[in-house]
Amino acid sequence: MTTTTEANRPDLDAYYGPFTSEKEKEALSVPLRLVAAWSRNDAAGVADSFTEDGILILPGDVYKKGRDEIYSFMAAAYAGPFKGTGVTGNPVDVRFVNDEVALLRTHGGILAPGETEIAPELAVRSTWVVVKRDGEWKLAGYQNSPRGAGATLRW
Amino acid sequence: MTTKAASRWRDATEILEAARVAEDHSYYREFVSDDEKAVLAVPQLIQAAWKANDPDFFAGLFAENGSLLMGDEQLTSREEIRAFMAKGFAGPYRGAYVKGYPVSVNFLHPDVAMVVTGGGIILAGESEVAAERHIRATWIIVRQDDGRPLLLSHQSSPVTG
Repeated sequence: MTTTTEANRPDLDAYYGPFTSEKEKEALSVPLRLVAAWSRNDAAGVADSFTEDGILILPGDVYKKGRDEIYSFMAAAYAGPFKGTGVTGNPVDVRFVNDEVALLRTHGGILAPGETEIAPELAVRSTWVVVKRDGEWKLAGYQNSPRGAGATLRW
Repeated sequence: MTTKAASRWRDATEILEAARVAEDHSYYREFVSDDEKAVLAVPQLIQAAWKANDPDFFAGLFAENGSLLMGDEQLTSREEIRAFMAKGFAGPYRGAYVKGYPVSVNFLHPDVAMVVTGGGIILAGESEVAAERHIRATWIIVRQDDGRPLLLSHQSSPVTG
């Protein structure tokens, strides 16, 4: 499935770390797509990373179910407090439940506009529950939790 | 591809009886199909393991490579979970228990469910989940060959804390 897509560009080697099998890289295309959509502050792109009934859970009473709810939530975030922000993260765990379901864990966080380092208050531990639908990996569930004592961000 | 007969989850009542845990019929809310009840046996078992402050019971509900995020502590195997909870039940979690309720039950595959719950830890001496301990959790529950559900991943994040 991977030809000359962004999933096998050599500059991504550092991103993949130890998760270098084709299968692992395919599953990791989900966070890569989301990071790319976020960098454009593209709410539709973020929502489209999810399955139709995908779930987004963030610290601070955010529970969004379905692409429509996720789209509205992200559009408001990019119009307001998260305008101009980016997001980053590196995989620390990739586990396949079977050929159609995988769990990814990443350590990352939001990048304030113009920043390349994550501020301690924005650091998160994320779990990505990804499923393969019609040959494409999608997010069935995304949850993040504060990482480190200084991680105070609540949405 | 597994056949329908081969992918059946064990009956919730049987799962709970086998663990000598009283089934809480009100726990299921609107998730009352046989398969939904089977996977919701897992959070009921986790609640029972907390109530008993029993680290072996607790860890045994996880897959061998199961993961658990407790606060900022990421555990990545049944053994790590057992050791962490043994310390916890002997220390800060002595007498503590958890209470929760299902918010969403999704089957990602005939053998894999994603459950979202709300709830939290009730420390010794408390009678309900304190506001700062209210969490939302995602559970990935996987069907074993014998139909028994095991917990592959549990992550929580603060709601009001």
